[in-house]
Amino acid sequence: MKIGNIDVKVSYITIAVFVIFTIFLLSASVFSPDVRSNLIWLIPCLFLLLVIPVALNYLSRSQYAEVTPLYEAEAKTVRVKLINENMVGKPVRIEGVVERVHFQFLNRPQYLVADRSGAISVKMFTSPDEDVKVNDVVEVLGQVIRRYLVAGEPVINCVSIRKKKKSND
Amino acid sequence: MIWLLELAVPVFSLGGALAAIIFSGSGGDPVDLRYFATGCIIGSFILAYLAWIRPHKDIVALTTPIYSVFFFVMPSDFSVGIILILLYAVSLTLLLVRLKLRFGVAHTPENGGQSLKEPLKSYCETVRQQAAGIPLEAAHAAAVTFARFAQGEYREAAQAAGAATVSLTETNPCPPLVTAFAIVREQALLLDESTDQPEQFIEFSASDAAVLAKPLSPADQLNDRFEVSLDNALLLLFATAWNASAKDQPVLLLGQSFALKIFNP
Repeated sequence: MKIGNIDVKVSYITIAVFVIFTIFLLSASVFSPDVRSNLIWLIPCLFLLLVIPVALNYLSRSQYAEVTPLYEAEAKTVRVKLINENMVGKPVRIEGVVERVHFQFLNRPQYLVADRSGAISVKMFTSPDEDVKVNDVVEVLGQVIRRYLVAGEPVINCVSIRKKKKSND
Repeated sequence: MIWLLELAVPVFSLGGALAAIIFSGSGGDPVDLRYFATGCIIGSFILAYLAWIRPHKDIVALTTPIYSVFFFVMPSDFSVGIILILLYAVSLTLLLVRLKLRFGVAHTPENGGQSLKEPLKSYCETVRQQAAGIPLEAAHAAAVTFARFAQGEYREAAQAAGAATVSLTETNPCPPLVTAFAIVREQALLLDESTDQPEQFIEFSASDAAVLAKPLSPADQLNDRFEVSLDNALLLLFATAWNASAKDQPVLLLGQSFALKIFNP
């Protein structure tokens, strides 16, 4: 779904929640007259379960789209091995192969990206522009952060992840 | 300092409990026992700090301040009594014992000066003799170059390395160190400009191998040679600075994890 220039993505979990509550509401309205009399506000509430995540996704993706050019200008291309806890807060660019992908269904994907020198976790707090899969060669732009904000190993808070070439299917 | 803090946990918490027992049994006007629970709250925060500064974090000890606030500060249906204060104080003391037995020695800036880890520690010992003749200024420049590089400040690292290279070339007490500065300068500039690996780059020679942390890569492996050159150069700067500039050791310790990472990727 496109709103303006932003390609908004609805996560599977959002759709699942919407479907489950729709089933609940339909079932309840069949068996209960009380529920039927309140459908006038229950149905809009049901749609809010869909609208709110979409709105949040739009907001986050539009913000990421705004900051991406800044990162493109400032980020230094580094090897994974050179990223360390002293670089927390620094914008970086890495290129590597996606070894693992987690939590894509939540629109909060986490990738393990590896280059010749090592591997690093790349966290994204919104859905990416492209559908990135295991074995894709990608360019990652982001900021070095700690895994648990104040503790843990350095990871990349990803602003942009782009495929550099097709995966070897 | 640490032993004082460790002592403070039972002193504050059990002291508060003891005071609560004494004052509640002394007759006169009834006293709000929450005042004596302050000792438990202070003890909880100290315990959490002691847990925080250890290399392995104890989540139970770290969360005790939250419980202390829940039990003794936030309004609730149950009243704060002597039994609760006493049990909480004993629990804090037991958690302190558990922390000391199971979660290692506290790592603080005071004892951090001697906490180089292996294999970095052994490597620093290996180059101690070669570092003996290095001027203090050059050793300090090595520390600055390493620290700036670790922070991702590649332009500053290149500038520090360039200045050190010029000053060292005049005296030349340790030829591999001059090469190390030159390698770091070259690669820092490449990183600063996000430039690809060049065909020709500065490397250590076979005669430098005795002071290098990693073995030199075979001639046909260009990428490995490029990366190992930088690893060896950074580690040599670290070890030189560690041995020849004691005042820079706290700064170097901040970059120790990076040095260990390039030692053992």
